[in-house]
Amino acid sequence: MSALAATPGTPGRGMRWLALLPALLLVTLLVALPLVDMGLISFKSESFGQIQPGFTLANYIGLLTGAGNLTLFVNTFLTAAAVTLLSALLGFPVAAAIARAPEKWRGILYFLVAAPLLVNTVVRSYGWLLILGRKGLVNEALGALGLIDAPLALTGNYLGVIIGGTQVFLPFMILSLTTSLMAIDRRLLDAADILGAGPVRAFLTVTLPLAVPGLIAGSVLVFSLMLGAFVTPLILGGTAIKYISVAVYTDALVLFNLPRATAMSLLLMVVVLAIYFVQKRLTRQQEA
Amino acid sequence: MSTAKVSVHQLVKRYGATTAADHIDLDIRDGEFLTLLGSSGCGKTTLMRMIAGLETPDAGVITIDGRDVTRLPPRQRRLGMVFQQYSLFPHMTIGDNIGYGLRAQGAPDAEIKARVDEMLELIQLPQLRERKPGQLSGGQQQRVALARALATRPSVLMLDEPLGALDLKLRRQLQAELKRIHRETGSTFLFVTHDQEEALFLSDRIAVMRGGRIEQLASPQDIYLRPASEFVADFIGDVAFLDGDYLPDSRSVTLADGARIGAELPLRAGPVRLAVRPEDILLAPPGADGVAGTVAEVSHQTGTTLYAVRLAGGQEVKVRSLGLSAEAVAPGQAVTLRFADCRLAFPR
Repeated sequence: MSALAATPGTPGRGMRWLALLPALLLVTLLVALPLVDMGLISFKSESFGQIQPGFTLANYIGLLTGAGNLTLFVNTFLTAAAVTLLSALLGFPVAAAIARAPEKWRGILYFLVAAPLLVNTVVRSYGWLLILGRKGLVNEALGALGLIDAPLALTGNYLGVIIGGTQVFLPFMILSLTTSLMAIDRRLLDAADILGAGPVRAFLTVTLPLAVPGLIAGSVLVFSLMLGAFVTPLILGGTAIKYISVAVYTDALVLFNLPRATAMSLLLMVVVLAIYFVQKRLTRQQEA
Repeated sequence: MSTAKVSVHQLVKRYGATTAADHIDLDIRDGEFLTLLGSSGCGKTTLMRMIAGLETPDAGVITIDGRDVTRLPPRQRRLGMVFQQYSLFPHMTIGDNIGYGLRAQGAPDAEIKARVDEMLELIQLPQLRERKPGQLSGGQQQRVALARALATRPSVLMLDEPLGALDLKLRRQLQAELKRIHRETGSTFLFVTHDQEEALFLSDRIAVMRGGRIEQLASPQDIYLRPASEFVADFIGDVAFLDGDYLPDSRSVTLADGARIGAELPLRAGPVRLAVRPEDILLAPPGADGVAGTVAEVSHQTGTTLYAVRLAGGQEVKVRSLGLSAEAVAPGQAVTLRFADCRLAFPR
C-alpha cells in the first residue's frame, strides 16, 4: 500500500499486475492451454478418428522420415521463400518512393499500401481466382490477343499460390522496408554523391546495406506469415499442391487424424520460432 | 590572369518568398581558406550547397577550375565536403569510409590503400582503420570525415559548420588542426560558420553574409578594423555605437550629452555614428580627464574582464581590460572613460 501512496498517479506494482490479469487469463485460456493440449494430442495415436490411450512418437517419426513428407516441407518452404523474394523485389521500389515522398503525401501512401489488408484474405484470393483462372481475365485477354491457343495454368498450382501470396503479404514487406529506408540520413547520399558515386553505386553501397534490417524484418514477417497461410494456398493451389497448412487441414478435418495434424502444426511452429530467433540474433549483430 | 578556383556569378536562389541568394558574386582563390560567415538564414549554407551541386540555382553561373559546373551533378564537380553531423557511412570501416571516393573513381586497390594510410597519418588516427564510425568520439569522427573528403584531392574542400556539434575545448583543438591541415595540403577550403571567432581565427578571407548577399569580403583584420557597414561592425566582435556630431577641425565627436571623444574620420562635418570597440577604451578613476560614466555590469572572461559602462546620455559601452583587476570595480561605481582616437564611424 505504501507504494500506492508514495507516488500518486502511478499505480503500484500490485495494481499493475492486477490490471494485466484479464489479459493474462485470456492468453492462458485461449492460447497456452490449447497449445499444451495440442502438444499432448500430438503424442497420441488414433484409429478411425478415435484418439487412443497411451503415448507414442510415431506421428513425429512418420512426419520426419516419410518420403512424401520431405517434399511437403520443401515445397512449402520454397513457395514461402519465393513469395518473400518477390515481395522484396516488388516492395523495395515502392518503399523507396514512399520514404522519399513529401511528408504530406506519406500518410496517403501508407494508407494505399495498407488498404488491401482491410479486405478479407478469402475475398482477395477469390479475386485472384477470377483474374488467373482458366476463364479468368489474364487468359481471356491473352487469348483475345491471339498470344496463346490454350489457357495458361495460372491457378491450381504453385504459381497461383505465389502470385496470390505475394499480393496478400506485400504490404508487410513495404511497411518494414519504408521504416528502414526513412531512417537513412539523406546526407549520407549527398556525401556519396559528392565523393563521386553515381546513383547505382550509391544504392548498392549505401542505401541497400543500410536497409538490411528492414529487409530482414520484412522477410521474416512475410516468410512466416506465408508458411502459416492457409486460405491462399487452398483457394489458388487447391489439392494439387503440397502445402503444410493444407495438409494439416486435410488431416484434421477430412481424415480426422488429429494427432498427425497437431504434430505437423507444432513442427511448423518450432520452425517459425527458430527463424524468429535467428532474425533477432542477426539484427542484434547488425546493431553492434 | 584569374587564379579563381571557384567563381560564382550573379547567383540567385529563391525559396517561395525568401531569397536565399540574391545575385551573389564571389571568387575563391586557389589555396585560400575562405569563410562564409553569417547568422542562420543568411544564405551561407545555400550558397555552399549550390557550389556543391546539392541545390540548383535559379539563375547565375558557377565555375570550378574554369569549368562551368552550374548544371553538373555533385559527383562530376570533384569536390570534397564535410558535414556538421559527420555523415560517415555507419556500416563501413574507417578505412572504407576514407577510401570511398577513390573507389568510386575506380582507383586501383594499391593506390586506395596507400592514400588511406596517408590520410590516416594526416589526421593522426592510424590505429582506427578497422573501426566503425559508431565506435569513435565526435572529434575523431569529424577528423575521419575530413580525411574522407580530402582523400580524392578535391579542387575545393567545403566544410559546413563542421565543428558545430563539438564542445568548446574540442572545437578549439580541431580549429588548430584544420589550420594545420590547410597549410600542409595547400588545398582550397570553403568554410561555413555562424561563429565569428572561429571565422577570425581560421580564415584568409571572410565573406560576411546577410539576407542572401555578401555584405563584405575581406581579410579578418579588415573585417574587424574596417567593417564596411554597421551590420558588419556589429556582427564581428563587441561594439558600441555612439551618436554624435563630427567636427573635423577639432578632430572630435561631440555626443548628445556634451561629452567629447577624439576622432579622426574620413568624413565631413555632421552627424555620425561612432563604432567603439571595448579595447579602445580605458577605465580611469572618476574625475579624471575623459567621459564620465557609471559601471552597470562586470563580467569576468578568460584572461579579460568586460565592463558595461553607462554614459551620462544613457548609452552603454563595453570596456575590456586585461586580466582580473586587483581593485574590484563594482557595479554602480562612477568611473571615467578614456577613449583612444576613434577611427571608425558611419555617417548618419
